[in-house]
Amino acid sequence: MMTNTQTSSSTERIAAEAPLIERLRAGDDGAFAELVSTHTGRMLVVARRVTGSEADAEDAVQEAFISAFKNIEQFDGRSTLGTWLHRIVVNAALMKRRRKRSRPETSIEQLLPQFDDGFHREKPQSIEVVTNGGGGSIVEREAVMAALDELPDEFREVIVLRDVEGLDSKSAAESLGISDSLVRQRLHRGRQALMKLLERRMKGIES
Amino acid sequence: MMTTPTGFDAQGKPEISCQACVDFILDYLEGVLPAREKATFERHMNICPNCVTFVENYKKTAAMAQTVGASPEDAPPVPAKLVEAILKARKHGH
Repeated sequence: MMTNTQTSSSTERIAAEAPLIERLRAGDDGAFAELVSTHTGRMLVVARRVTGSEADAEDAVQEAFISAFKNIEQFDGRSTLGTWLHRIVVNAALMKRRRKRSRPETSIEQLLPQFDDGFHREKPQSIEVVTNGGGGSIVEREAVMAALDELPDEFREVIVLRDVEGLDSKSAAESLGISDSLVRQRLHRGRQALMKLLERRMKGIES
Repeated sequence: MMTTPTGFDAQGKPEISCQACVDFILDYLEGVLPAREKATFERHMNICPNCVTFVENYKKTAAMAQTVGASPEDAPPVPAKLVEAILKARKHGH
């Protein structure tokens, strides 16, 4: 499920977590068990989307928790534990994916729209029409996941955080350690490239 | 620069190119495009079916990616052995 960061105040949630954080810092076993049972599911979802693999997602979550346990003293309490863990698992999952990368990435440039004299070189075809012929939501979902997997990582990770995970640009920028404007630039280009990949997939054309 | 309500300039050419229009899409959809550019974008959309289709596809693409995130079937059950392994790793001082 998508986290709705807008409905409850971050300040309230941060305050509500203070006792748990104290117990974590004191090395309370129960507190660690609570942390793990509360956040593992959500972290697995995120990690799976970033890595594209169940096994790698589990490894990434484990690595993320180990890193979090080691660094609990450095947790500054300015964000929620969920946000902090999210950032850690995203980074762990990205590292995992980068280490395992075996194929050359598709260049983003060839997936962006082409213009002649500033005007569309080709008439864009409506994705919606093709989608209606292609089936229901599961087909769409699988097509999106497969298309996402073809994007260069720097664009894929921004789309995963902004569109799939529903973070705003600022939170995505914090998670990725890049500027808000770079997130927006990559999101814009990434969406256009994803659009092209979806067009191809839904037309059944192998790229 | 002289503007017209039609989306064409005084020479009858489109006021802005499709490429410029595409550059505006994200800011337009998020409501942060300045008023002047917003009006220009909207005039171009009135005269360019290619850009209309392109923007619709762009919105659809974002919506499809958002649907993936909202899908309840996407939440995997948490493997008990994973939870155990994580807590064990902590005990062993990793």
